[in-house]
Amino acid sequence: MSSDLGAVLWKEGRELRAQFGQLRRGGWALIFLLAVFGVFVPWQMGPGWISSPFMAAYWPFVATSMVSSIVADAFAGERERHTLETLLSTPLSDGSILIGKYLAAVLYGSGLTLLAVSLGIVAVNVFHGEGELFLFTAQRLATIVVLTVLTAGASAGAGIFVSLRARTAREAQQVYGIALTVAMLAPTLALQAVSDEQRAAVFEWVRGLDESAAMMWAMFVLAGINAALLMLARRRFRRGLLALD
Amino acid sequence: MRHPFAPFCGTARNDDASIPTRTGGLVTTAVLAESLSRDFGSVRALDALSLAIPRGTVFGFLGPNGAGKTTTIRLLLGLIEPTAGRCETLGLDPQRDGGDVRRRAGALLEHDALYERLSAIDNLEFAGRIWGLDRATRNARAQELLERFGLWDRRNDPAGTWSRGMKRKLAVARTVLHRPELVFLDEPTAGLDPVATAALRDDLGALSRDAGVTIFLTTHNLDEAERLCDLIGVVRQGRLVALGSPDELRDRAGGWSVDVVATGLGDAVGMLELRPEVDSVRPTSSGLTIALKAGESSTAGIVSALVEGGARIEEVRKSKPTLEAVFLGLMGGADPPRHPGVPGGQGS
Repeated sequence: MSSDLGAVLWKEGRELRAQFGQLRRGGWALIFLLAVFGVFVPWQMGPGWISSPFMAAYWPFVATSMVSSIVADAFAGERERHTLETLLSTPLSDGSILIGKYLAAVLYGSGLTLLAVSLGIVAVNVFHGEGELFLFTAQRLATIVVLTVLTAGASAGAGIFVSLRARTAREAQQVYGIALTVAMLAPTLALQAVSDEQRAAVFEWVRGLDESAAMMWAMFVLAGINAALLMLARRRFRRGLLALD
Repeated sequence: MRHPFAPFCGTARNDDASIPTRTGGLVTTAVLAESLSRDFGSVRALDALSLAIPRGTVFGFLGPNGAGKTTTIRLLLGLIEPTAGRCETLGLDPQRDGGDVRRRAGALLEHDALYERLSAIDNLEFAGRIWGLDRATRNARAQELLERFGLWDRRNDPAGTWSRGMKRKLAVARTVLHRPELVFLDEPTAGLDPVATAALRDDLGALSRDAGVTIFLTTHNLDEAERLCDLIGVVRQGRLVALGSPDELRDRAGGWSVDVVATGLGDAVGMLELRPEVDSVRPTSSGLTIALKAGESSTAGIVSALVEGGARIEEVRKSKPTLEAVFLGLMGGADPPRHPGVPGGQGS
């Protein structure tokens, strides 16, 4: 299983490198994203970029953006380029193909997001340092890392689930985009759907949470979403059906 | 001369004609199908296919588009489940041991299925990793195959920038990289130029002849099937309608045909039709076409009779029906008969 997983991860990595390793093929897009999230926003926000607890919501957004740029292609792209059936004709297990593609998207999204975090620290200190060194606390940094990985995982799980069924990468991207929009708007829509008293109770509950507890809740929910999406994707991964697509 | 796949083949046909099974027994049959059927909704894609392909054979599976060839390969690889019947691939049940079947077999399906953003060497590297080859083995085999196919100089170019024929060669190289005991090839020479086609045909023949690898080949190129295959199955509407060696199939379609270019034939047609070796006689613009009965091949008596009858013969040509004629004959009619699945057996 581990060598199978390694083979899939190796291939996915090579494909990403081939795609983004050259400026004309996607390298510029990557540089643009890193420049925006890792340089421009920290430069604009200054030290608050590091100290604000609300920035915890920023990293899941960045991770989702990174993952969404590649994950819809995972199976739909293989299907569209006629490589899927041959991939299924190898001794690679169902699990190694599925988890390999999931992990590749998670590593890509998390890696780039954490690279943006690192660039951001440098940018804040370069543009706003004035002799003072701004750094995350160890707890804040750990929270960022865990939230980033979990959010990248949830995004990758959703993307893989959609990509397994979509006929083309474009179709997968469209469905995935709609699903992400709904997921991001869901809390707002849910709050609007409840009564004023219930809404006030929710806000009161949130205000009562300290940062650590809020982050723990977020991690717990994200881990649950990861597990659920992976289970759904595993159920959708049926070799016979995929081979016939 | 050592054949091109010699470094890539783990078994020798003449030394060890048997395959160890999971239970420790030996099998000499690479592919076995018994009343194998597969439905897609209300459509029967494969209808009670029975087939036994001995190890080391080059088997050609012929049939029009949609006849059930690809479905058969998918079943034998364990990618899909049969609706009825059973099959064995290399002595294993593909439904239960699909991973093991796919580990010991190689498949080049309809499409080249290359990762076009990756270089040739990376495409082979990925295949080598999938089959668990160590780095040194991966590198050595990749180099030998790429050199053999004349692709080594462009090994670092993305496969997507290559011509159709080069991609097909690379796909074949990927298929045999791990020394499979059984290779499924779906139209392997499609898109190749005549020189490359002939070279690949020779290589595939050597792969089977010298290394004991079983080749399960689908093709629309009947000349290719005739030159390469030891055993040919013809499938139509999901049914196996003929099975045998190219010679057996030609014999089933009829005996020798004799074209006589001559003048002064007079009533030669009536005279020849009385001869015991003659099945039928048909006048042509330049003379006669005579169909001999099955098992008859001599034309000496016919030529003598024609000369004695006053004919002035310019040319006599004797030929057997081509595989194409056999194939086209089998494709005629509304309801195809089913072959029992034994080489040489007659269709019901």
